[in-house]
Amino acid sequence: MDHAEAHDQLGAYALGALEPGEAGALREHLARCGECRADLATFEHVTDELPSALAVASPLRVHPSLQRRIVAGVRPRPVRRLLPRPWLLPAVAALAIVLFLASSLYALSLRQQLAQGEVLRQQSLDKVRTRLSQPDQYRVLEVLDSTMTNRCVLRSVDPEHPAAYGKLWTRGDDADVVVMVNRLPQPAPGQRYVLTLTTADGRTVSPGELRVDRDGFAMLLFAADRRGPEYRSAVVTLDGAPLVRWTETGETR
Amino acid sequence: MVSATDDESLTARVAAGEIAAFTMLYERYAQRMYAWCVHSLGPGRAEDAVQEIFLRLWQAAAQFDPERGRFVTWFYAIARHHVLRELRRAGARRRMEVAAEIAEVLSAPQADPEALAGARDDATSLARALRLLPEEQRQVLAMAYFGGLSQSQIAAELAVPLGTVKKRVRLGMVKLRAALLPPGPAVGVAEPCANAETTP
Repeated sequence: MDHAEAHDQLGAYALGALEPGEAGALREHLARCGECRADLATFEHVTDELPSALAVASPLRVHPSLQRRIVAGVRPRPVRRLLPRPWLLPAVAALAIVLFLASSLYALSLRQQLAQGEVLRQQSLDKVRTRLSQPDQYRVLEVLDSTMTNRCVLRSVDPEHPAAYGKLWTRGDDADVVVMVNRLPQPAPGQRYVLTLTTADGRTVSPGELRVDRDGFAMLLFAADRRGPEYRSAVVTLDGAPLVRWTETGETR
Repeated sequence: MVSATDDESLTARVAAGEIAAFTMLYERYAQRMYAWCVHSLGPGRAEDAVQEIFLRLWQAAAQFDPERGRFVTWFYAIARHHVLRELRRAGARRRMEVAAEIAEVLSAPQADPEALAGARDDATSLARALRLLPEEQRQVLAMAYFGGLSQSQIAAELAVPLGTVKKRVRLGMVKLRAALLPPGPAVGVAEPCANAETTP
């Protein structure tokens, strides 16, 4: 996308009216164009005020009782003090010490694995923050963090790159789908990573190209054609050669 | 000096569990959220939707990063996502009806500008600019933002070329932006007159 085209699309981008492919291309331009970033901020100022403008124009007013209902709904519950009966205190103290020691040993044994996993999670989070707009970050969060989230793990099928992996998240009550792939080898010039999905009714869909950064990380956020999309398989290919794959008989939770 | 009651500071206090800060944000944004929800989802579902949006604010406040943008952008993204998700359940036709209804509200004279708690000049300036937009530009902006439709979907729904929709969106947004700029020498994109639109 060249500068003039990107510049013309900024208003639509701020409105959230671009197709996913157009939005992705514009984000790439924004990453390297300060002028467009500055212009986008002025359009986002407009979208930030649209609900306020609607409230100014609307004759309908919120009922005062709603505030009490909402504030009461978020009030943290007071912590209940569960004091055991006095004659139980020595036993409870001993049990607490045993549990503390056991959990400390367990935590020690897991620390290294968890630290490694935490680093990877933090890296992915940083990528989301730096590559997506705040509205899209929120879309990602909504898909990843809900009681109706399904996660599929794509594992390497390429012996030369066994560390490559990916994850696909869907949500039972939403159409948004998030895919993140990591530790991918850098594509040669002209090569493309493509995600291909097989839906529950047997259709093959390709939501788009995965653009790998210099760390081997790629991410895709797209809207499926229905809420709660279900897939049989997901595969990421590099010029047709599968790198990572998930099938419904594999791991999913 | 940044006030301790600016939106971003209040959100940090909400993240720490402070009910008073949450209440201040509610008072600041409740009317906007209600107007949005009631015109999008109807009076029967608006209050529940407002409650869910503020509950999400309470739960997610710690995730807000002021270095990445303004609170209002983040909070409206939460609200818009919630409202559009509800709207999508109602189907494409309902989204069109909602956008048309909101465009109509935005075209009417302001009901009571003083009734919006904490209303800033920007909101009233934008409301005025929206009212003065050509109808077809106001319509596509409402369909995009409040109806959650892409430019391609709008073109299909209105049965007009995609280029026409893109032009309407661009001209409309440039005019709205101009309404929020401080008075002074004109800068940025040259703005064609309202009647200059032609179908490519």
